[in-house]
Amino acid sequence: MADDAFAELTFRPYAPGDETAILASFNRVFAAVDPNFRPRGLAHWRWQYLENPSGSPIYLALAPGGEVVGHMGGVCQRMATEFGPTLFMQGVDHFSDPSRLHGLRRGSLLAAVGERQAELVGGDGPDRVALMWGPPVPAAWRVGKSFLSYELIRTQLKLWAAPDAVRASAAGGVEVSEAASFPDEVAELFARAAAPHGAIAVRDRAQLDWRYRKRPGRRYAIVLARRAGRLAGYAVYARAPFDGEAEESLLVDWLVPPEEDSAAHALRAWLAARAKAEGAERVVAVFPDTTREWMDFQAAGFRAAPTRHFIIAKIEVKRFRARWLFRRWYYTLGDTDLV
Amino acid sequence: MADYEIRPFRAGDEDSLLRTHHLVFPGGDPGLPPMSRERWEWEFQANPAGQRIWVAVHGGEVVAQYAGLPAKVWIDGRESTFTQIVDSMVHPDHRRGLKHPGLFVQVGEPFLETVGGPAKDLVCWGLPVEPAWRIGKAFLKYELVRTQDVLAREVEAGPVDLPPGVEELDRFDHQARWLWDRCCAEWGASTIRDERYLNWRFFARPDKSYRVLGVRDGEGVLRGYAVYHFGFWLQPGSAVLVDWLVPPAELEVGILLYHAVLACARASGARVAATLIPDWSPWFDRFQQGGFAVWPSDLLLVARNYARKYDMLWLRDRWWYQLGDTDLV
Repeated sequence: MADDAFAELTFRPYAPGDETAILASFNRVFAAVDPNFRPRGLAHWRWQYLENPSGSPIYLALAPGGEVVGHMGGVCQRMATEFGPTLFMQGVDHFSDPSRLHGLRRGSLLAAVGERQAELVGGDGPDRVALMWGPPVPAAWRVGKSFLSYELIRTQLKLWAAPDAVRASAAGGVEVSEAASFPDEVAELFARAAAPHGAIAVRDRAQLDWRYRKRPGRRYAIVLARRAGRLAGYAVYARAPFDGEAEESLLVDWLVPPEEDSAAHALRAWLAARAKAEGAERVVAVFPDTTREWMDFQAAGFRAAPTRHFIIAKIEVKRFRARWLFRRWYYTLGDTDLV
Repeated sequence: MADYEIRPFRAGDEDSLLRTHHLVFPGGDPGLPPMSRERWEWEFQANPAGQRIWVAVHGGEVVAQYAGLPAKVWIDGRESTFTQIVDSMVHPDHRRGLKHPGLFVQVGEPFLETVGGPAKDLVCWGLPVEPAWRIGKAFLKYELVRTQDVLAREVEAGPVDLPPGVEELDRFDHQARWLWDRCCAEWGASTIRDERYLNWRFFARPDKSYRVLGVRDGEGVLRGYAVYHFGFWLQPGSAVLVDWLVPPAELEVGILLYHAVLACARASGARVAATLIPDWSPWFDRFQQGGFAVWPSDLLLVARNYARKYDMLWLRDRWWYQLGDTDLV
């Protein structure tokens, strides 16, 4: 598609005041393709794009009248990697407005927006986006692999267990309690838990509070495990739609250092008890299959099953190769916008 | 490329092809002995689905190969062919780097363009090593179907004899196709497991032996089978379930064969049993209920498709394949 096909369009990053036009297009485009779609309000939009402590860049294509005809949102994550700090960015809310395309191919317009976004934010360094990633819908994946060098990192399985099937051995003096917020000690916990991983999104109080306390429209249970008073792990739990199910009991986030087996057992016991109390048939978790957690949860009674999801990446910095990411990158459902 | 003749294999190429094969795959890895002439003839001359080999010849010698093992496949209600790419090789004196991939791509491109097509081989696929995957992705339209997990479990003490009701087969007969017909309705695509294919795959192979375990009903009709092999897969001394064909509704047949495989594993002295089952199959979950765990692996299932409908997501969710479909075991 020649550039002059886009001559009438303006491509630029988000500027304050664009949110009204963005939401108008977003709600129109997604309502047309998803019968279960619920319009997004300004509060959610502000939370996702203006309040993320790691930043949430947006790139737009605008028609001459100011309508948003192409949109690529991003939710950044500050990453601790074995190569040093950097940013990853989950691509979210990618859309083009078919009613405004006037003969343009949808894929090529999204590609044009994506290329410009990558040029603006992608690259090497602590403040640049080394990796754009996500669990795309098939249509976005097809556009991305054709036009934007998307690579498949993993076909994602999930772990699930009926609450009564979860084996929780002795918790070894660990106390588990639900908390209203994350304590400052979570920084020290993160330092211990991050060590085995080649790449992990920073889980500090600011990021976690934004993700799990401030998100409009969803409640998450924050569960802390303490051993002799010291924070030994946490879990985040929610009831939410996932993978085609209207409501699942989900382990949304999990951070337990490898030496804290007792905390892991205690947190799994809490999860099973909570899911059972809520009448759930099962509790579901997502981890990379290359992590210790993947095997530990199976040893505790969870079984693997396929999901419709797969993790893709657009790699901006070569040292984050696809196979390295497969082996070394830790993520949970909470890293995504799926829940 | 003027010095190279790139063309389909023809009679007379065998000796120099095998010389280069031995140089590229010297057989140092456990479970991968050098290719014998006998095995090559079984794999590439006797395959009931045909032969797929392209070569690059330099100075009268085969210095590169791009080859595949075709199999007749039932896909979406019709017969077609999938071809597994195997033993791709370039003589060390004729190699170049990833940026200038040279012969691998020069031989692979005409192979894939000639062999593949909507009315020809519908899918070319394989489990390449990482360098071949990178080159294939960059130059030959390889795409990833699945990051392949494996099912594995420890082999604990227990019976070493086959359970009553399980027999060891010494040939497949026409009933194999009956059994496969009963299973394939649940699948979008699968290799047609008939008498001819199965006997070639598991009884004619000269360098590996398999135990084929079957369960029959009271009238002698085959209701399920499992193919067992003891040897190298992922690690030495593995008990490998190579092929499994049991209708998901016939759990009692599956349980008998499951315990028969474990008995074979104990009789072999194996410490670990392993297999590969598509994650969407009910058997994937049932093997976990039986004690198998799902482990990551470095295996990448990749493919190039020649009909838009059968893209990687379609294949991920509908293609029944087993280790027996591959050349790994």
